[in-house]
Amino acid sequence: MKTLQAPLLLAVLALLWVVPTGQTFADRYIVGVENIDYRPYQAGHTGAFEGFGRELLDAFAAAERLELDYLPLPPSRLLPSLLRGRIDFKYPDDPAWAPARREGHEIRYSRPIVGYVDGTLVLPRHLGRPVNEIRALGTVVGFTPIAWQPRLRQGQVSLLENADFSALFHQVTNRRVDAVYANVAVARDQSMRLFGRPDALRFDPGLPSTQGSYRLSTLRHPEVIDRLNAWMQAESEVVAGLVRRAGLDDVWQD
Amino acid sequence: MSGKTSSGPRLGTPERAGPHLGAVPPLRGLTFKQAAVTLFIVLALGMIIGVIELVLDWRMVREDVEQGTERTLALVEGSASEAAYQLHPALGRELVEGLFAFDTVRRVELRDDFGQVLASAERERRTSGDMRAWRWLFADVIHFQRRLQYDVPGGGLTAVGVLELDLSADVLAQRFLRQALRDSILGLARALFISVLVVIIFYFMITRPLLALSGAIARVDPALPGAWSPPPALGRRRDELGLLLGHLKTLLQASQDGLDARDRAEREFTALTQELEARVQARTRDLERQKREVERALGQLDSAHQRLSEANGRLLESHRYARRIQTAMLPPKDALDAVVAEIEILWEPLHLVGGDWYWLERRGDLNLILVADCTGHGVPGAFITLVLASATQQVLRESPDWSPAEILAALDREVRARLHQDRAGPASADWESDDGLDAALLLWGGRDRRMRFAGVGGIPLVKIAPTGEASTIRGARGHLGYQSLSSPRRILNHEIEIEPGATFYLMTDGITDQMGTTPRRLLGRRCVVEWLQGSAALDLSDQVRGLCAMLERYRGEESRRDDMTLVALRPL
Repeated sequence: MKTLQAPLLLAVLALLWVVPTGQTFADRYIVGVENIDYRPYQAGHTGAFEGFGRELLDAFAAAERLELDYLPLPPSRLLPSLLRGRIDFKYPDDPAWAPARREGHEIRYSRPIVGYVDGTLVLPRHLGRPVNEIRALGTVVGFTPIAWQPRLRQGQVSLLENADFSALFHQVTNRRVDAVYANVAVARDQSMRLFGRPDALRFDPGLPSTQGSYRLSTLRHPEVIDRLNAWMQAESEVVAGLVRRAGLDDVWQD
Repeated sequence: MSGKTSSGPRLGTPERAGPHLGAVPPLRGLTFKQAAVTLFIVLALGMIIGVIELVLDWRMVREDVEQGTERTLALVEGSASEAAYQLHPALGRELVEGLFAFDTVRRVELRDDFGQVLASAERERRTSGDMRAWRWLFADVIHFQRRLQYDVPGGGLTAVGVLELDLSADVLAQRFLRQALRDSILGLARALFISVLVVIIFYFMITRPLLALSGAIARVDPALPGAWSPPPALGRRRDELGLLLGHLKTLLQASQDGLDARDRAEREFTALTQELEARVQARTRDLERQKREVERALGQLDSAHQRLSEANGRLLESHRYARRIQTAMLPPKDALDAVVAEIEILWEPLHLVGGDWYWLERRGDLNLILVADCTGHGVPGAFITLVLASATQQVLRESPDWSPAEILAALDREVRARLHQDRAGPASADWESDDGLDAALLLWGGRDRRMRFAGVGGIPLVKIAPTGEASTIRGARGHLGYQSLSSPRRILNHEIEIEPGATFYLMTDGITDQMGTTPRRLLGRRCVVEWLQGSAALDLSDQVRGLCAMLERYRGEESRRDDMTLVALRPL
């Protein structure tokens, strides 16, 4: 060791720094998420992904030693970005959304992660009104009112899109629209933050609604989906805890 | 002077000038010409300026189209980007439909960055005419494309799609052509309006005053131009027409002054003519009288001329007769032919008779040739030759032995005696004869081949030897006869050997005294001798003819000055 010179020592240290020492590097993926305020499910409108979805996927990534980069995009851009390979995963996703555009693509979906109800919200005093009195329906941009599609196609209802939830609420208040079609949990959360109470608009179960579950989807990395499914099954308690903490354990609650 | 005093003929009347000059055809009038020129200039300028404006307008419209469309695209770019980013077909459709508010838009297409067409629309506005031939006007400024970017929160500017917009070249061309047509019509109307306005102004300011002035000029009495007065309206003008009127009045007054001056001159001329006619008549009478006198003098002159002609005829007849006498006094030319190889004689008096004389005679075996040049020529010379011939006959008869020098001396004495020149004292002046002669005498014969020569005066003996060499032997100085001169002091006999083929010449000075050539000068004996040397090979008759021709050529226009005598011989 007395003969080891300083340059050689530096070279050895550099080699030790660049050569893996048994620990493998984490795989890195891009997850396309919605850039809207869809709390408590998730929120990406500030450029940063947060909410239940972020907590769940971060827990999965940490458990599986993955690195996930979240890319907030308009909901309408998520599916094309996935189909074009611009993103590795899309969240949230549901095979029932825009099924025609998915034809011909081998999309792999995870098992349901969390349930959702998309329903029609009206002013409390308008609860129970018949469906044919709804002539103008508001929704956020990129949100497809699947339950209202037949009436929309028949022209019985006109659809007004708005990028902002608060604007939608004000449109209902001002009678610009008769109802808002949105996720029930999200609407409750928005009402709480906008008006200080959760029932500024209330879900009317008598009006068209749909329900389903959010999933993670991919075209190129089905093994990760398998790992997610396995992880959720193995860590069902963790997942349930995250659901409860986000207030999503009873999506029908209003 | 007033025109009323004019008595000259009138130049013309207004009635005659009016119908001839009064009417100007409309197409030749100043107004029409000015209108045509103005219209042409305004139209030409308008056309040139219109073309320039059209090109500038075209370029400006193209720039406006480009800039306006770019501004419009910039205006909708945010919405288009939002629609493309949100993949929002409804928003895209609204944007596309909004763009179609512009009637020049033919096609709009909004595509997202996935290649999907979010919204598109196309229409083809029908134009009132077929604009295909004019599409090139805007074909290069109708396609627009704007790449859309979106400022993604946390992600920076991201390409989200493309907005394409096509304008209708037909609509743009039709709009531009309508504008051009409207400008052209307005330009034409403006040209016509300016032309009409200028014509009206020109008519009231120039043509109408000119017509008034023309009418006033037509009313000028050519016999009384100074009495002309201008139209009142024209008289008050202070412009160029007023100046023209002033000059015209000055001209007419000057014309009136000229007519008056002409009348005065005519009267003076008439008076002068009458005076001259009287003078001419008087002069004619004088000339007629002088003519009669001249005719009478000419009659007298004709009569004198007639008499003179008759006298001249008689004189000429006398000369001819005298020539016959003088010729009869000469010996026969063949008198010596038997004793010479050749002999040729030239005897040519200046007039019909002359002062040259020659004589040929044989006595036994002696042969004699005498050549003489007596004083003067014509009749006086001929008379002296008569005396000489008589004296020669006497001397030759009375001389027992012929000696050339003694014969010439005897002739001197005999001539002096016959002309009474040998008498001294005052009585000799009564005879008034101071005449004489030059003479040369050649004598040969017998057994010897020698020749004796003697001469007095200017008649030499010229010998051309067979070798061509020439030699001249002159006689004694002085003359024979002449009361005022003494006899020659000594006359020598020259003996010359007769070589076979040699030629001898005796010639009077009339042969050599020929005036001619340029510059004018005498021929001289040397030239004659040289000519004879050059002609020695000829027969003597040919020599004499040749010599005469040479002398005539030498004289040219000059006339002869003296009698000529030449005797040429070649002894045996």
